Amino acid sequence: MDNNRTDINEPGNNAGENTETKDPNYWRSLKELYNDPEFIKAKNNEFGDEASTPMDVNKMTGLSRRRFIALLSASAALAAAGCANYRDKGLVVPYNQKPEEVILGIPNFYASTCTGCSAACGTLIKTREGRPIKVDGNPDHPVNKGKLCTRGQASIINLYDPTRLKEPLYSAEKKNHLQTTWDEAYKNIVNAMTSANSSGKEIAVIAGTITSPALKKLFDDLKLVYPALKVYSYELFNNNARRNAWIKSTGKRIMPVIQLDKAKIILALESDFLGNDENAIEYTRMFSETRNVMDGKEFSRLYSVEGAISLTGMNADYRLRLRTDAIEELVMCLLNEFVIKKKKSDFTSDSKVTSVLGSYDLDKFIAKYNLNTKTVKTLVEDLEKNEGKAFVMAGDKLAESTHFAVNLLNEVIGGNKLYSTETEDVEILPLSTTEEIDALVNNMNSGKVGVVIHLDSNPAFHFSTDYNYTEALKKVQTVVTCTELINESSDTSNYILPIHNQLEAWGDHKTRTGFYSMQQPVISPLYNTRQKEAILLNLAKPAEQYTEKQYHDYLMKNWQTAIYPGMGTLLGFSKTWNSILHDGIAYVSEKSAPTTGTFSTDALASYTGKVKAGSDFIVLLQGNNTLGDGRFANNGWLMELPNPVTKIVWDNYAAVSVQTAADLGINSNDLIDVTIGNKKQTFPVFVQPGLADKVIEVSLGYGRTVCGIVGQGIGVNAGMLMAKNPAISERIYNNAQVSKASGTYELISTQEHQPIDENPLTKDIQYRRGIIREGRYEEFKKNKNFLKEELDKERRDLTPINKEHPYQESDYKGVKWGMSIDLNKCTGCGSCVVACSVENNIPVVGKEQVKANREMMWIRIDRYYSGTPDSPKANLQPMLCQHCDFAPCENVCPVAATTHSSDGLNSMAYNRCVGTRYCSNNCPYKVRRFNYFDFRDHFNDSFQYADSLSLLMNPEVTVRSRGVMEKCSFCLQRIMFERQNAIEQGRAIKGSNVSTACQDACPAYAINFGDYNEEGSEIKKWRNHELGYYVLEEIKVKPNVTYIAKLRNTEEEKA
Amino acid sequence: MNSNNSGEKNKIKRRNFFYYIGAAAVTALVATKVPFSLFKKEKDSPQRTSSIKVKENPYAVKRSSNNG
Repeated sequence: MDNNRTDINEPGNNAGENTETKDPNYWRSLKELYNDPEFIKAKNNEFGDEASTPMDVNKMTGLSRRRFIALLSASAALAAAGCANYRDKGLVVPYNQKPEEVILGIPNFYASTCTGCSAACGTLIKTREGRPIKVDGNPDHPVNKGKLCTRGQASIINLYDPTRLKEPLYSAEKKNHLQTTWDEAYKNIVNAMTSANSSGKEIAVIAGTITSPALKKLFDDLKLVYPALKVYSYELFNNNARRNAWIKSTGKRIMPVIQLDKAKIILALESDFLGNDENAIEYTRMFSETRNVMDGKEFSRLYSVEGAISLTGMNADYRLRLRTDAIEELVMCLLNEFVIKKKKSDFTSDSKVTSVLGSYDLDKFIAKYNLNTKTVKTLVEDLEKNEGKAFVMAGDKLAESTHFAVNLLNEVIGGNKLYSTETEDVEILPLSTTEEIDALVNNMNSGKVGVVIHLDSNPAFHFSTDYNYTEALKKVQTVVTCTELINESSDTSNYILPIHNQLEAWGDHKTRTGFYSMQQPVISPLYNTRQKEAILLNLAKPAEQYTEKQYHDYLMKNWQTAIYPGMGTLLGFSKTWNSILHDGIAYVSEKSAPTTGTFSTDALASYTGKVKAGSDFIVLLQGNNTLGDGRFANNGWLMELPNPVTKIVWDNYAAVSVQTAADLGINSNDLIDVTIGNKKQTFPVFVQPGLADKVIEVSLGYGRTVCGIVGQGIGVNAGMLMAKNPAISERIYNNAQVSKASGTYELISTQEHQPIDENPLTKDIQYRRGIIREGRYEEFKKNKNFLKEELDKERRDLTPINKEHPYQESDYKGVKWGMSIDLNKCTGCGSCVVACSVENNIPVVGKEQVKANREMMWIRIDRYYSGTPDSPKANLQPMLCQHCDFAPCENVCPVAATTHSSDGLNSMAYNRCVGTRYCSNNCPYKVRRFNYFDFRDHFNDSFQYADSLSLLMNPEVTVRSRGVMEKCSFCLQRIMFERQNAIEQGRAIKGSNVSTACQDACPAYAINFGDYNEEGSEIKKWRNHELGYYVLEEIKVKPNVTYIAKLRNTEEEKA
Repeated sequence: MNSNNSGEKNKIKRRNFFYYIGAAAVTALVATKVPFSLFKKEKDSPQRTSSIKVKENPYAVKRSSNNG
């Protein structure tokens, strides 16, 4: 990359933002934009150096013909001998006594709840012959409505993780733990707790967010037995700032739920509500409902103002980059604009408000931060025009005072009318405050804490290093960690108690008023583990013998006495219980006090305008769609899932803007030292277009030092930079020092992999062929065919490629499978990618293999930028096998391993494939994946061949081996299942009965699948939509994936 | 020049050839029959987990389809 970059645009100039051009200059990465020789080389070398290095005869050793034949024979003999002991795949044996609930070949489904974060989304778990093989969203759940995030989708692998703890462990010295028995562990822990209780020492239970009413009751019961017991709860990605600001605003703890689907204007302030902020699945659905080209409703308009570049920013109609610490000032300026200048709202007569707002001015702010004046003015107009239909979303990580100012702004512009009156956000147990945690650590240091129990939590990794928690832990006599995998906290514990995976456990969860979400085990425990609640129950009642049913009975009893009577049902409890377990949801008639009410401006004077923008570097500690707070670090699918913005896999990094990189004299893969106060951490650099200058964006959750073999030592622990009493918020620091460090570290981004312009015929194709088609929503309203007409015009220029089809067309009179992807709805979150990997037994290959372009995921999400590196507009496009009618991969296969079916599928016969890779070479979309190795064997010492992981496999999908090509099959196994049902029921196959894994997972409902010939089907409507187009349709391969062109709801740019 | 004589000095005797073949066959037989796994150092690798019993939880309530 050229650090001078003057040929692109002026550094720091935002004036080019959202400039409409007829011919967007699409670029996929800075390497491509700056014509980096490395990228050019990679484009011309599809399979990488290792695959195409020519044989150098001169470098070969001299070998006689006889010796060659002898070695060949010996090799053949050894191979034959080796084959005698081919990997034991076990025996297939029938049931002696078939369980009643199992019908061979037919899946069962169980409704449950995901415990991967505090959102508690409803899940539907598919089991085959007793084995859970897929986790999807529960369609009956009112929050996630059948959809699930990347972590929820990938969580299935955690159940079968071979490095899960299988037996209780003990160590008196808190290191080198040895196996013990549950009885022994219980006896000693109960003794320690009793002793602590009688000597007046504290017993501390440290948990994550508590969403279970039954668990809360269990804590209460436990406190009756051990009065010295105190419960602490924390969450790395928490909602504290938002909730505290809400309490200051309204005096209420219960927060409103936002009806984003009713919003016409959304202003996202450092908010990634489509990506990593809380409740992203629900918000993605709601947002996508406002971008539906089918229902004829007006599009919403999304503005994003941010220092980082988030998925929300990439999907915004207008995006402004602004230092994060200036966002609060922007809100105050907007308040000034509406309350003081435009005399909006009742606050105009409130002197507490007017006296504070008087000192802010929007015009000066625009000039100070060099913002695009027109965009800001359009924003103000939109907020004014759409009173009651506009909403301002503040990011989770923003300061409490910023949230307060945003609450006030929503009161002023009528955003409060979008607060739901049906349901509210409730908390079962408030998170502990900094003061409470501080007091706990002080007590631990002074020997006043006798027992610490980490209840499925990892404070040693999550707590700010200011607490010096690990040192404090050493001074506690008995430390117990209840966990599925070893972690940093268990490493300094006396007892490590293995707990059930979420798919083995019972529970109830309440995050909103009006319903409970139920959790039930779909499989009996695989190992000698226990439910974490049952462990507490046993500590409360040590005399009782543990049974697997113990917590189930406790939960049921609590429901029978505390919740069932209020349900107002005429059914008996037993039937009600079975019914709610079946549905995964229990609705209750409850109405809490309205969350909205009189807005209190009392705190205003001392509260707003607290965050002052500085000029030092800002460090943003971000969430991610992969590891969460680090609890998914051992999940290979998530490690290998490209970051939706940067496309980097297997690492975190410090993202910096192009200008900042130039100023610091650094480039991607260099190392920088980031210093905040007395804390210093070194990160690899990734130069990311669109970031505000002097903003350093780093993802939390990486850098685990103690976890399973997949995640250990991957990435850098950015959490060690967190302060316990931060000036702005736990995740924003504007006083960082940054300097270049020595050395480099290679980051791997998949963005430049599988480029589709590697040969002269298709070179620079994205500029000429409309791979991405986009336009303005206003143009679409005027002329629904505007993009098609534009395309037709362009096509005329494409001779000689634009010829007649070379083959005779099939008429496909029966079923004709096809897919459509609506680019207006797709946010690029990656749920489809993970769902596809789970459904289709796709292996994890590891960082080194990804580096060699060998990632195996069947869907990739291509990212195309247009505009300047400072103000890029992004387009995200899921790319998978297009199942072309005239598939160029088929006619080059020498063994006819890839052929076309009569219902329009481009099929693969794996056991016929000899691995020539001609098909991949000839595929214009670069969606074929080759097994260069038996990746299950190759990755991490055959980790994926562990006994337990073989239980994860979908039995309907062949597990591919080395030397075989593979690609998207349109979930052929699901089509076959429908075909089988149709045959059994004596009816015709119905396309709308089939859904693909990616379609099921998509939280934005962007993917549709079905039979093009089915009258009245959704897919037929999409295929014939005015915005529908096919990628590279000019080359006449007749793809069967219809993309719906992206519309941006922007104003027309006047010259 | 007769090309058949070019490698005369490298040729092995017919009898030795059969000795070598026989030795190779015996070696291959031994290699496949000797239980080398007995000499392998036991280590706690993930593959060595004991066989896992899969059983549905008797108290869970199933659905017969993903539509309810």
